[in-house]
Amino acid sequence: MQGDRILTGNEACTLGALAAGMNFFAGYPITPATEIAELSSELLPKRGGTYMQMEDELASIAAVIGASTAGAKAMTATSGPGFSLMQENLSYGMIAEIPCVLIDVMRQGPCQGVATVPAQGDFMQSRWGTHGDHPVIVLVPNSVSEAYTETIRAFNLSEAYRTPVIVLSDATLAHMSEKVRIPDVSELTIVNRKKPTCDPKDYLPFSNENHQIAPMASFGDGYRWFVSGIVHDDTGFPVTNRPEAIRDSLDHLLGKLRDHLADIESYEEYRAEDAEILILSAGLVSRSAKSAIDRARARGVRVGLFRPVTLWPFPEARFSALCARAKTVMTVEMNGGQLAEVAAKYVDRDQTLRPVTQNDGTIIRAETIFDAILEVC
Amino acid sequence: MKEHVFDRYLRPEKLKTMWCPGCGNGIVLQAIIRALDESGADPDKVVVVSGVGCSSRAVNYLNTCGLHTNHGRPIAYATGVKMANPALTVVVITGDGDCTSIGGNHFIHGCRRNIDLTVVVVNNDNYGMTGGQYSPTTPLDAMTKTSVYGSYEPPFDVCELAAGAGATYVARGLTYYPVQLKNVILNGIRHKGFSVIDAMSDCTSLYGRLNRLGDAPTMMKRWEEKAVPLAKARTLPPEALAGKIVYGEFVRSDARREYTEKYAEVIRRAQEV
Amino acid sequence: MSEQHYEMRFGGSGGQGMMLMGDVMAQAAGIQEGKEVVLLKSYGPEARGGACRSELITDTEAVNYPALTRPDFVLAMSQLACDSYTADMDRENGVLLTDAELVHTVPADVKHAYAIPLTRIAREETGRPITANVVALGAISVLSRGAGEDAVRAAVLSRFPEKLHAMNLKAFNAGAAAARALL
Repeated sequence: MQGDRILTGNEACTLGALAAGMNFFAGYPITPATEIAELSSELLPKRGGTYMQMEDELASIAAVIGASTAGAKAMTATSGPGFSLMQENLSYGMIAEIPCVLIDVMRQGPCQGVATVPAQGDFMQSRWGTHGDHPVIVLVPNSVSEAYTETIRAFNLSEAYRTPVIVLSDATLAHMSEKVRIPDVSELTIVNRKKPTCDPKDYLPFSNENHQIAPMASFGDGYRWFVSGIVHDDTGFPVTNRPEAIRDSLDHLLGKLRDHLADIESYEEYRAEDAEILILSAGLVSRSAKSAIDRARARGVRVGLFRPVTLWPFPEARFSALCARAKTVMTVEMNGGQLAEVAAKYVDRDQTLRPVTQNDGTIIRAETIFDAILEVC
Repeated sequence: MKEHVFDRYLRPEKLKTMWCPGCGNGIVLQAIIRALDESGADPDKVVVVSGVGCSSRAVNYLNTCGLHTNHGRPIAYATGVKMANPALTVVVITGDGDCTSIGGNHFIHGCRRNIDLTVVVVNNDNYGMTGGQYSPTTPLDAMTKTSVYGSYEPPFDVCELAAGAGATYVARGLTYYPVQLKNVILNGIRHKGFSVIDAMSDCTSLYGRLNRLGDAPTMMKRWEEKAVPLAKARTLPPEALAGKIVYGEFVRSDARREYTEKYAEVIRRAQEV
Repeated sequence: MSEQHYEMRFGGSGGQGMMLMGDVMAQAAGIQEGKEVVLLKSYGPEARGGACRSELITDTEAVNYPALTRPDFVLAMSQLACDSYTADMDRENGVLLTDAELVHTVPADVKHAYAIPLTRIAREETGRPITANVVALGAISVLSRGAGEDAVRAAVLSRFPEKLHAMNLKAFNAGAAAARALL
């Protein structure tokens, strides 16, 4: 298995998940994510794992969360319409702090949109798609290699922080093939959830002191613990009548990520150190930005890229530091300007914000970005 | 002092229950507890999964593993639990609205898969938690908060629905006959396959009040008139069963293989390739 | 994008093995020769009948844009593929390879156009017209800069079980020889 292989993005996500220890997949067929289900259905039973094709996406993520409570490392994969359906039970995973991974292969437009072409319309849905207020970890790979490594990291983060983690791929990345170096198993860092070792009667499955992550038992381990979608105390049982308990429970969801940002955040800077024009772009399209930057740099334009790999929590400390040195902040994205709304928060009145957006199902070309750079420099 | 079965299965600190006086949920809960106890299942290996509604709160009081899930979804969550660890005994407590309305799709597909879950549908003919609206099992012409001129939607028969969708154990019990109710739940737990128990219960403070069915004892008493055991029902002409509720075991079949066993075969096949 | 940036398109009709050609060439360039590759395939209803294609970009540096901008090489195994897939190719320096018996009209302004009876050679060499794509791979390894002959040959063989190696080797070598004869 190890060594260089030519893989599609969907294959890389699946193999990354398996390398991370995925032993349960539940999903529902949807373009352009289907191949993840297909490959999982073939490979999981070979390793004694479980593939389930559920009746819909609501059930898919529900089964994934259920399996995780029983100890499985579980994943689902979908695209926009299914991602919308999954929001309900995704919020369960968030409040109940159940590790799992969700891959959303982004396609174009609202509703059925265009099933076969890429877009980045789900950036904000991945952040705010569920009801209520809670943080979320969202990873955005920009290559097939990263589809592999970031899916592994998604599992690791979900296990470490007891939370669902979302990976945003897109229709082009899903179906294009690139070279991926599959490392030897011994080279991989695989994180598994901490299990309780205490006496079952002392077990607090949702203890949140100092925003440390409570150990998580598996159903059947001898710990008769209780999991609920209702705001709960450290025992897991509902507390709905004490404002301070409600606050503590929800604060922990924020705090457990906020206090570990250094571990969670990842980003790439490309010729950004001295950039007067700072480009903010994530995913596949950020590669076009790199080509444009090289061309503009050849003409003496000081332009660089900041690419969040962890889109959420947004790596704001580094981005705002780079922003402060720039005259212009440009976003390059395949939607109506969702990153521009993020960037706006960090741009002062004497700086220019220039969104380069394209919403036609094609990857923005370097020429388009290059032209925009020349316009603002 | 000898330990009572309730001591083993209830979390005393979580009591008293949030249910109204006269509600049937407590009787269903005790039937589930006695059935689990008689089944011999190790409480450490029992997972009780519920959705949203009055009856689903039962899982809060049980000293087993508990998974209190979203409205309508307990069967989907329970499916994941069971597949991840088929050695677990997985019981679903759900209501008529939770199971047959918002969760209807998961219900029929659970039946179709024949996965080894025991689904207790606490059927009180209305949505109690939200204040007494009509549900898919509300009888025609019954009064609810959203059918103030009488219900105009034909109801589901939970047992017929389950049998039609492929459940391999289907029974109905009543809170009025708690021993029979316990027995069908016990048989459901023992059955290897998807078991559905339609547990007829009374919502006294909403459905009962809106339909002028009297106080709780009066409501329960009406089952003497209304409920007909299956063996007797089979001897009666259809017109004699109008307005009656037939209870007993409707389906008990080993003809189809259970899902986790079937999937174990898939694993064997995949590993041979 | 470096000097070595090279864009290829393999067009034909469903069933002619265009997806496999992309896989083989990506394997040859990416794994055997260690280049960077981006392989793209047409998916969905498009891939089931009518013209279908796979596309490959090879480079010695990272490929940033995952689509062809100006193909350096086009294979057309059907008239429809030739009509549909040649408009954007490099007229001056690009190479067009067609199946001589299946494509009758080629764009006149493509300077380096080669016609080889790929399917006929397949039939004659192996008795199996289905091996026309392997004949084509042999020709491509000579006519294109995507990957060298040895690399493509090795990649072809890695795709088939041992018992089919002799047949495919025969097809491949015949294609390469036919191409060399044209140079």
